[in-house]
Amino acid sequence: MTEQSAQSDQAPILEVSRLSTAYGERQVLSDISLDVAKGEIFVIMGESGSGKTTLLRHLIGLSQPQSGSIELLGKPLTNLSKTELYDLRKRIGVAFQGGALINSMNVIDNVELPLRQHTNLDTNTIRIMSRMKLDMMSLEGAEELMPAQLSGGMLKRAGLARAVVMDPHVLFFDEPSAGLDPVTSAELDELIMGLRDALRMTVVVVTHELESALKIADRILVIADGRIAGLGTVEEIMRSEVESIQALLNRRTRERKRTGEEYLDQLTNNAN
Amino acid sequence: MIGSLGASVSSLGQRTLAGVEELGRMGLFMLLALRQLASRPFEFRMLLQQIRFVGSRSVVVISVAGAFVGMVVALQFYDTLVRFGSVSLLGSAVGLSLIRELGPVLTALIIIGRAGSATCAEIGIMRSDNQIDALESMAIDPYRYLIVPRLLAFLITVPLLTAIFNVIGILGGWLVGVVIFGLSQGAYFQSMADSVLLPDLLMGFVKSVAFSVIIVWICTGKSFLMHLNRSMVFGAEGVSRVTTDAVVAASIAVLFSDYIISALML
Repeated sequence: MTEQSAQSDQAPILEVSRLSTAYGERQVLSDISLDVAKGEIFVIMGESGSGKTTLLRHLIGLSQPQSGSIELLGKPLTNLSKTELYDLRKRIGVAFQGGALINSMNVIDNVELPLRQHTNLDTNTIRIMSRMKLDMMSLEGAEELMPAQLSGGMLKRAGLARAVVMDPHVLFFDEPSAGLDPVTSAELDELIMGLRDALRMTVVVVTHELESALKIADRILVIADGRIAGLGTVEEIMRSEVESIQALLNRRTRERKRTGEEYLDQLTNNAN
Repeated sequence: MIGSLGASVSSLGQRTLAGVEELGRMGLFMLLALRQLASRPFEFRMLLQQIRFVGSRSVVVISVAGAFVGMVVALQFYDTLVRFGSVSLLGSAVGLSLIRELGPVLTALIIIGRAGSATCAEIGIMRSDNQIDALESMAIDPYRYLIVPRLLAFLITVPLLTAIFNVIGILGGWLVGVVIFGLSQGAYFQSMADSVLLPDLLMGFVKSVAFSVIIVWICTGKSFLMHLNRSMVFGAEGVSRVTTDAVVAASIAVLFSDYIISALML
């Protein structure tokens, strides 16, 4: 390996510097900085409403920040033309919560869509490549089903098959375990780790599922109220004394413990 | 009192601003869609699907509506013309009414109710379900992939459906005037041929094209941009609301532009 290729291998795949954004007067993200190394599984965690999905939208170029910069695969996301942005997007895959399959197309047509749009491969080759990805997701036999006929887990796996059909350099996941039972969730975790190992992808996962995050992450970013609460390896996050991280880890409520009488009073007052 | 008056004025101002904002977004939406007309790859399969959905699946309802409208127009005109001894002008009256006015307008209103609302709901669900974001993330321009085929499908099918409406309507009028009331067939069609001229056909055609653009613009634009509407909610309620708004807005826009085109071309 030459020095140049060694250096490019060490360069972060994704680099965010002091990103801030707001919706109207509401500050959603403040001063977010992170970097993701090639081949790592990077998990962005936080409670609902912490800003993690907003951050994901910025990382894949669906939203523009108020300030700060994002560099993905060596390209600055904030200054790209539409053509350059689309060229960059052909090198990433995004698995949305719920799959986001196109309703009017069956599973195999959904998975084939990026290949049909962006390659000159013949129909047979596209079909073989798509079937291979569906087999990886244990969806053999589901090719002709419509999205409405799929279970929640199958929708996510079909969405994932579509996201990886072009063998992307970076794979983004939005809440992969949301709405799934523990068994299916565990299977999906294994799939994510398998994808990183087999296809040498860099994976960025946005989740609020603690068990999943601790299992798959190389590093974790914890967001609270739109700010970074912690960033580090699983062990570093587990040892953190930051209150919001501890609350996330221990699933503590923020309210003080109430007596039974106080609780009854509160219920009665709310009813009145 | 001053406080509540101030609040009312403020609310009116906010609503006006929101309306102007939406108008601007819709204008930009149309420009972005038109810009993609020449983009490649062209979604020919999607276009055929949309032509089938908007066009061929509307033929029956358009034909039925055309037949009954033609019959009722002939009935109403016959009742009036017979008092003036001008029953021979029935063909002319039916033809001009349908071709200039009723054909384009009623076809547009039926298409809004059938295909416009379904298209709006479909795109609204796609927006609500992140499918449009998924297209963007796959580097597929949603204007080129979703909007352009629908724009072309409406542009092609609505004038054709209007023509079908007119022809069936004229036959409906024939049924009432000639078969039921015993008017001479020759008189019916000759008076129509004498009075329906090229400017009348042009007016009907211009209206049908204009209405097709209005329908697809409003019905796709409203749902495509629903996520930018500050008061919008997602999910079933949001899609339902935006579809209702689109149907009402498109219907009013069709009637308004009908008057404008008529005033300009008469």
